[in-house]
Amino acid sequence: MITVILTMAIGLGIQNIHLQTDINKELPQNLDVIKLQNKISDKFGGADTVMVLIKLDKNCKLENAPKDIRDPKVIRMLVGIENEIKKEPSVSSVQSAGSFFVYSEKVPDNIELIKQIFAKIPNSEMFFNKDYSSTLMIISADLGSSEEKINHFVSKIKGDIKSVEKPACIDITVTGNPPIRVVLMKMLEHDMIFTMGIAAIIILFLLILIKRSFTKGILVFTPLILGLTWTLGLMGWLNTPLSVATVGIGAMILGLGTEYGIFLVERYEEEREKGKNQKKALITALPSVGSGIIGSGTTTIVGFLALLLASMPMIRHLGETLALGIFCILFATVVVSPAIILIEERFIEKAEKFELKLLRRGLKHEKNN
Amino acid sequence: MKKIIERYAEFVAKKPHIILGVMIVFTLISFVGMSLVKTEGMSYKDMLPENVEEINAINYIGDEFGTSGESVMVVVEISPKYANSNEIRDIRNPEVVEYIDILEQKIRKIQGVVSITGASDILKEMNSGHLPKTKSKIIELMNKEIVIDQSSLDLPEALSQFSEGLEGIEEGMSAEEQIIGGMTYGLNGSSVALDQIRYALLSIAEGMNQEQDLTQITQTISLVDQIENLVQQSNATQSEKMEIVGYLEGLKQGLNTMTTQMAEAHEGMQQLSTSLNGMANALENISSGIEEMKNASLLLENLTSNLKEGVSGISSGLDEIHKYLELYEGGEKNEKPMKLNQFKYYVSDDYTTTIIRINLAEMNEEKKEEFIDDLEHIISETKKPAGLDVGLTGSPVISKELKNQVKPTMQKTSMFSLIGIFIVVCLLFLSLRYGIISLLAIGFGIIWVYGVLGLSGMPINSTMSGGISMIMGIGIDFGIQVVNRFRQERKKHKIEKAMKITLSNVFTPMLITTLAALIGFRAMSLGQLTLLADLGNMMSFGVLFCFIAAVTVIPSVLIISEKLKIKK
Repeated sequence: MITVILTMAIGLGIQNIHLQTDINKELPQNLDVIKLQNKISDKFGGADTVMVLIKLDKNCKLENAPKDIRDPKVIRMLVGIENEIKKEPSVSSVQSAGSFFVYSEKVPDNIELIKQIFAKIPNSEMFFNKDYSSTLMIISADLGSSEEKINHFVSKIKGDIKSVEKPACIDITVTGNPPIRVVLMKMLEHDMIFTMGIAAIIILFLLILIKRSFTKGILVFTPLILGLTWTLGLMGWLNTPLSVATVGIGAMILGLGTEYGIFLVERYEEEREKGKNQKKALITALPSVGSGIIGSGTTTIVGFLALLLASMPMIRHLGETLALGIFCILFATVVVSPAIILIEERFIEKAEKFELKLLRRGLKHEKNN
Repeated sequence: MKKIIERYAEFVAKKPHIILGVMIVFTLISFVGMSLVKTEGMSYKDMLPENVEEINAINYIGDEFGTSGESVMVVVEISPKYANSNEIRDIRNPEVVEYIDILEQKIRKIQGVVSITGASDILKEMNSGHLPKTKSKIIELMNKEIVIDQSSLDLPEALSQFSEGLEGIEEGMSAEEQIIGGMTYGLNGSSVALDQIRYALLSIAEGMNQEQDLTQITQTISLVDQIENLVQQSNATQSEKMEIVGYLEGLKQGLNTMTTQMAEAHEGMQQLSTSLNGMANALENISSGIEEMKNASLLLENLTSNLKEGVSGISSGLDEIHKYLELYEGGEKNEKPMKLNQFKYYVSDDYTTTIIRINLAEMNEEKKEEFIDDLEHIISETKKPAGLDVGLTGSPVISKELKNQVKPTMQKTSMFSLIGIFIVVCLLFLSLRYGIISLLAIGFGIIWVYGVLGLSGMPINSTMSGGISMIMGIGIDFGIQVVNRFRQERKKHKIEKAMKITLSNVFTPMLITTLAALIGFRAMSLGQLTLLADLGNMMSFGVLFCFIAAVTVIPSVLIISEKLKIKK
């Protein structure tokens, strides 16, 4: 009961887990080269630059499809998109090949003329690739570090692009730091659940297979799930972010934490096989294995805490989260597992008695017939 | 399974040396692999997942538009150290521009540079291929925006007026050319004529200046006097004498008059000579003035020719604009001008920082490092103006720096981990001997991991820098479990039996543990974010090897050590 209340209280923290998608923050911030990179990003607006890549679909067979990205239809679309994006309040500037025309209806219908115009504009080639199969729109914005704001902004930009008529056989991709962070956000959420789920299913299957019992498998698995829930809850309460470095911790903690439950259960069963009753078997197994698993758990935690000395923040975050995870699972195994072992045995006994009762009833019924 | 484990346990208990010997051979092979282990850095690209539209797009942009992740930036910042010093405080200083230009020229020669762009390139482009020499000129160019403002221009009319103006200028210039030609010809002629006049005058003056010989006349007069005396003394008649003397007197008078007139004439000639000399000097001055006028005329001629070329250039430009206007029939007016300032990509708004962007060709890690070394060498050998800080950044530079961090990080974390674990196991067993034996699992396991990494050519990157410490933390568990159980069983049984019971009972849970850990590490790589996949691989090897060492090396050493203890 205490465990359930504790799990619910700590587990509430899971909803507080925030995502850290700024990869730059996972690099050692004290290095001169990173400091310089950050400074350049601040001064030249690299961090909040969204790029819209407009490409010709080379596989497109349509006759009237643009064959050169300077096609009037494409330039007109660029002008339209640019004018829509400029309306967004956080946008500080938008530049593209369409910037030279201001209004889409002012774009000449003749591609040769457009080529002549670009030829006369210094540095206009910066907006095009060498074979004129793609062009670039650069959007500078002031977004700050809020993941929510970034997400909202990227959605708005994508909406603006969709609102403008697109010529056939043109692919548009929104990229740059903010859209990549949005992608990472989705991936972090997906990967966390996916890797944890895969690991959980395989480990549970393995435990059931080895123990040749569903309940025994669950018995070893329960402290793992409890420890994992506590870890994620504590991550939320301790404000530890879910990042590219910590996204796999669920799977790792499950993999590493299995050891403690396995050793405890194996030893308990060993004592039970010797003919000891539940209490005596537990009293023998817990201290003998307990010291071993506490010792090995502590050394694992020490090994992970050593990562706090690493220069890469991602490795530090990984170390502290894993240490927390191992501690939670160790605690769950030593404190909660004995209770679960007893509950499981009693459940099995009751189930067997119930089955026996059913069997007897069946036999009686047959006799009466 | 249980029987196999028991048989193996019996074998270990009886022949620990064989097991240990085989493991030591493996370890020696691993030492060879260890010497081949390489470290590598990592870039932003490595941290991002693959096969995602947005990431593919950014890679495509990098390759096609030269904004590749593989670009290095030379960052030049102002950083004055002293107040009121002559150090540079504005990046638009001509010295800075010149310094950037020198750096660019040197960097351009390094192999692997695809393109290099900085503020000096744009300045040169805008300033007819020359670096501006004054700060005011640099500021003027940097503030210059390419403005396409169609609202304030009625282009066709303006162009036709401009054309007419140009034609006028051309006509004027042609007339001016004729005038200049005539003037030059006239001046040349005048100059020659003046020279000749001057020469003639000087000759006359010289001639005039020569003294006339009056002594002959005086001698003639005295000779006449002597003749007159001789006549007086002669036997001639008085009348004859009177007649001859009369002639002689007349001659004398004539000679005296001649002398007087000649003296007067000489004086007049002298005055004329002075005047002629003055005229000659004046003519010389006029002549040099004409020479100067000739030079001026030549200059004017050159100027006219240059102007003509300029006008012809403008004229052909106008022709092209005319063509554009003919094609572009949009006579309507736009309201907003388009502004493009290229410097914003290279010079910070506060004019404290400027960057040189170098795009690199596709090259391997080693070549990139060599490139960065060359770059650093160029920066250090190029004399920079006082008050500037120059640094390098960009993905390859960060990668190199992160690579440099791998080994120190590994040493630091591994050392801390090893010491911490050693203390814990010694406290746990309250025995130095058992503490050290339990460490053998991680000792051997890590050597084998290094061996595999070295022999397979898998480099250690930044994310793997904490791997050894993590393997130690996880792998020690196996050592602890084996030693812990053996000690418990040893209290009740003999060495061989204790080991047999130990291995029979810990092997399965340890195998499950290893499998579960491997599942955990493999699952980690199954997501789209595979940043820690390499770490997962390393950990998988580590856990597996620690398990193997725990069931081979530790039991063998435990048995040998127990037997030695008994012998003592």
